[in-house]
Amino acid sequence: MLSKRRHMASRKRRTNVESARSTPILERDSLNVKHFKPISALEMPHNVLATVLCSLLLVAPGTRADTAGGLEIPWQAAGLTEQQAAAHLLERFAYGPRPGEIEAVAELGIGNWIESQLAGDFPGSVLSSKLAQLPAMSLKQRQLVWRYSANKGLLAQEAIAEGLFTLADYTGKNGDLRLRDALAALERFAMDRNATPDQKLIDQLRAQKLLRAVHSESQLVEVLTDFWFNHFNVSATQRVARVHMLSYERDAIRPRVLSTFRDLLGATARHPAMLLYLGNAQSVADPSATTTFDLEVTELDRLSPLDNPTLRMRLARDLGWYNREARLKLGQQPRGLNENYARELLELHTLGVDGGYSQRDVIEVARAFTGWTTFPPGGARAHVETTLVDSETAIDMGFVVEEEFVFRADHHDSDEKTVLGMHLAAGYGIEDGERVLDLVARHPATVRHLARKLAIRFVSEQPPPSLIQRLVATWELTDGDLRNVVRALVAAPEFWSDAARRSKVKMPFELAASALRALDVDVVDASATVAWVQRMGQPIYAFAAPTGFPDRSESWTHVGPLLSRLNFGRELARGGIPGIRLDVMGFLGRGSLRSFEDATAFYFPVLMPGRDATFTLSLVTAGSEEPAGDGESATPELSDAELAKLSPEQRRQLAVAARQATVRHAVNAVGMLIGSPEFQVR
Amino acid sequence: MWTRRAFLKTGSLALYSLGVEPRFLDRLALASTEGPRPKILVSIFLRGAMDGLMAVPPLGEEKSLRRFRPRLAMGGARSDADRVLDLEGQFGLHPAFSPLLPYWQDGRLAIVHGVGSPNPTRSHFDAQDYMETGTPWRKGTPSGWLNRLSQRVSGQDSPFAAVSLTPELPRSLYGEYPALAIPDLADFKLSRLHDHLDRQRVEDHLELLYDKGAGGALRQHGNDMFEALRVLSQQEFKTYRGRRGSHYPSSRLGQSLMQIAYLIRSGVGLRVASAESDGWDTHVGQGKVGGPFAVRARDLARSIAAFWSDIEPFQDDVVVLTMTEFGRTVRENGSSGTDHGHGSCLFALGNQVDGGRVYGGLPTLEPEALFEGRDLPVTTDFRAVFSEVAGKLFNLTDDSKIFPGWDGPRLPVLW
Repeated sequence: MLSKRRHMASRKRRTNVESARSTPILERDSLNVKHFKPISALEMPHNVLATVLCSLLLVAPGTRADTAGGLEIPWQAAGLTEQQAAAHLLERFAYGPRPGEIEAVAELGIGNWIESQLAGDFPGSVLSSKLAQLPAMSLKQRQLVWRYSANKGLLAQEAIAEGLFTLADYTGKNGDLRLRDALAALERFAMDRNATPDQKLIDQLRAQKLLRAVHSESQLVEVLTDFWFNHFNVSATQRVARVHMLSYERDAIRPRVLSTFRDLLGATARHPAMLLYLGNAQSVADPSATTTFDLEVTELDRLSPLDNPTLRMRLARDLGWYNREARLKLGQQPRGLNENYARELLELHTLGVDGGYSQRDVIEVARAFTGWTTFPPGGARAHVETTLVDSETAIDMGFVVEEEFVFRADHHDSDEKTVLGMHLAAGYGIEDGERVLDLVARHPATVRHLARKLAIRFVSEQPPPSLIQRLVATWELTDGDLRNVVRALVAAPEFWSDAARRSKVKMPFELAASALRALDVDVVDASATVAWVQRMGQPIYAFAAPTGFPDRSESWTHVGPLLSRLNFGRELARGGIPGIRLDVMGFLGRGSLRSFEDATAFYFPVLMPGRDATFTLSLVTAGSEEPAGDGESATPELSDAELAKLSPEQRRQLAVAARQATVRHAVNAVGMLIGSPEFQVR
Repeated sequence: MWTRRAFLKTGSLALYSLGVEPRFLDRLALASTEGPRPKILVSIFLRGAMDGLMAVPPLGEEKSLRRFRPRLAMGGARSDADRVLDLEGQFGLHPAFSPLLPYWQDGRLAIVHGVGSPNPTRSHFDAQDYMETGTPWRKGTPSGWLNRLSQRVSGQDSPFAAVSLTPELPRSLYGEYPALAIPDLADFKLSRLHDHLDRQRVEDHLELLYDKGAGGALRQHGNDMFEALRVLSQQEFKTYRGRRGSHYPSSRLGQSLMQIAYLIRSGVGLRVASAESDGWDTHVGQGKVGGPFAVRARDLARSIAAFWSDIEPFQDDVVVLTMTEFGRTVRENGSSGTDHGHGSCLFALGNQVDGGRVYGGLPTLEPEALFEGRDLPVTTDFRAVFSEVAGKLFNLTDDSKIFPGWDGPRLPVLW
């Protein structure tokens, strides 16, 4: 009898969850939210897709494809050559051109390049063999948590508790020998548990970003992943979030950068990295509120008063709710509402700071997300896992477990709420949060906020209103389809304008990646370069604030970081960055360089193809008016007649000297060009 | 001692005569001709949460202390073993802080006890974040309080106005004001190129490119950078070890404070300096007279004392302020350490500090008087101290500009 009822309850719950996820807008929304046009979400993408397909079919190879998704790409109207257009495109929607790539894009056509990037199916064998060397990349989300959760202090505590050594041994009070034994025992203990410090995971996360930026063919996806990660920023400075960050980018963000905004938003909202970083994992219903769990228990009480106490007791025991101390140990101190995620969801992720929400809305949104959490760390995890995973009882009670995401019905405030004028009726569980996401993902303020942010990142830091309008229109027409947003950016005349081109200072990561790409390097080990990127002022994956790195040119060239940019160029050029294989001389073939000016003229188009070198070269030449002097005249020019008079040994010495001078000029010029103002901008 | 005047003669004036715009040292020289010498705040963040109860234990509570922390409690000022220093009143001072005692005695060192954040979080990250943004309930505040302070007290007149001796910018200096983060000022140099012969030429080219070939912020930052390079390539900086009689520890904190002292003495426009001390998260084997806590405490005290004697001619202009994200449990844990708590204490040193006193306060050490039955309660909001120090030092009136949403009273620790 009971089990049947329980199944009914469970069916009800499941249906709610499914409907919340599969249909973006529930019926209730359109009734409550007056200022929203209901969007026919199912029809739009088909139309767009059709247009895209047509345009691809109609444009025969060889003809110049000036369209993407049926939109005309107005680079010609901006007065650019095909090379200039390709260069600009690759500096904004890729990490800069590799050798020969500008010609390839010009040959393929701008529109075709964008469409092939949007289709995004590249075998990329070089990249996959490099990524395969990072063990974390192939581990599932859950395996990552197990493998990389090691914290030395905690491990030592556990090892002491298990009697492997004493505290006095570990702190060295019993002498060096005992200390050494204790440390060795700790090492074995960590290995037995397959535990690796979470820093190793962050190292791999950083390495894969550089490997992909330099070696991936899916450049658009990489650039967009960078943008959206930064938009939904989480930081390794938040210790508990670290172990989830690789999965956050790999599983939540990268697969969705060409999906819809709602899809992407939802994936970030459920991911433990975000839940822990902004503290929603600790957000618990106010003690006075009725939780979803309370509701279900009351319902069971009504249906089956006799059985219920037993059930309640069992769940309580299994989850350890009756014991506050146990909860403290779980690291889930029930402190009540935590508003941080709710506030940043509205202020940063969706509506924007002037998006017209109130503090009341923040609290109501926070209430809607109570119970959105993940498993507790350490030993407590197994306990909660056995209780919740695949448990009919738990499902009946409104719990949801999906990978590492846990919805705790006993923490969710199921009382009624009003968010931005939308009424959320009492009695729901995980649906509350999903409905809030539906609402804010499509809110006009969100569309404006995101259009502006995209325009600033991809076009110009003073985006013209006309551009914003164009992006907003596309976004609304296609319900936040991120492919079409990219097409709209490339099709905007503003994108190709003089005001936009070369107007942005590269962020340090972009600077490093573009230099490595231009010089066609092989990244054997990314760590030293990653350290340089940090020195240049961009600790990737470790920007503490949820705002993400500022997308403002002038904040990247402060005195200290600028100096590091210059030094990065010099170190790279002279082969001083471990793990980077490059052959500066390879570009020259058998040619030689007679002077620093020669070398600068030669390497300028290598590093900055499609750019006008005149000004830089005129300054370099002007700066060299003084006689070259000292080492400069080491390779005197000899006429053929004079050469013929030399002995073979003399000729050999001359050749060696010339080669050495060439190397020196090449290294000096490449180092200087990477540090030059022209290379800092894109 | 190399002076600004000497530099102006040899360095930027020479460039000036070539038609280069006045650079930061000239801008500084122009700005400093009128008015009193500028003030300087030196902030030291003690990361990991310092145990305020061990640093400044209440005297006359020995019994409770021994009950709560049998392996950590130290003797009162009048007992023999594990003696703490007597602050002549209700409080003692951990003996490792003894280098600071003279400053207490001559009234320029103040202690604020029971200081902390109104936010009860026990996460290092969250608590540091809240303290450094200066907004204890808001994660999303884009800038840090020291950056907002820098913005208000210094124009864009020097690349050395706001400096952090750390590899990355601390959260407190996030923001629009161009703060310099550098672990060691000696690293502020152009790395060597392929060949020494060409070095000067390539550098000259780069300088020219930034001056003539760049615009806007890129150009200004470039010019300032080349000038800063000249400042820090002075032989005197390379060999600087502090003036006679100041003995800096070789620790990171000691070296950081030494470099801050150099910047102060060089008159390059420093207003806000930030240094850090790590390792205060003493969960295991915290120790008493010796051990991890004492090591940190001694390093902090010796570094500050060396710094203070080093900047002797500038002592009227400088305030040193320590801070830590929260305190530690009153009860010791199973591994002879303490866990994350709530209230802690801080030090403020300066001629402008109304010192020789313990501000704020502690309740009696009874479980019912403690925060959540386990921690020192926060009796003083950190913003009450920070806003006082920043506000009085720099003559600011509107504290909400530095601490948005804060309208509480300042704690009057400065004259």
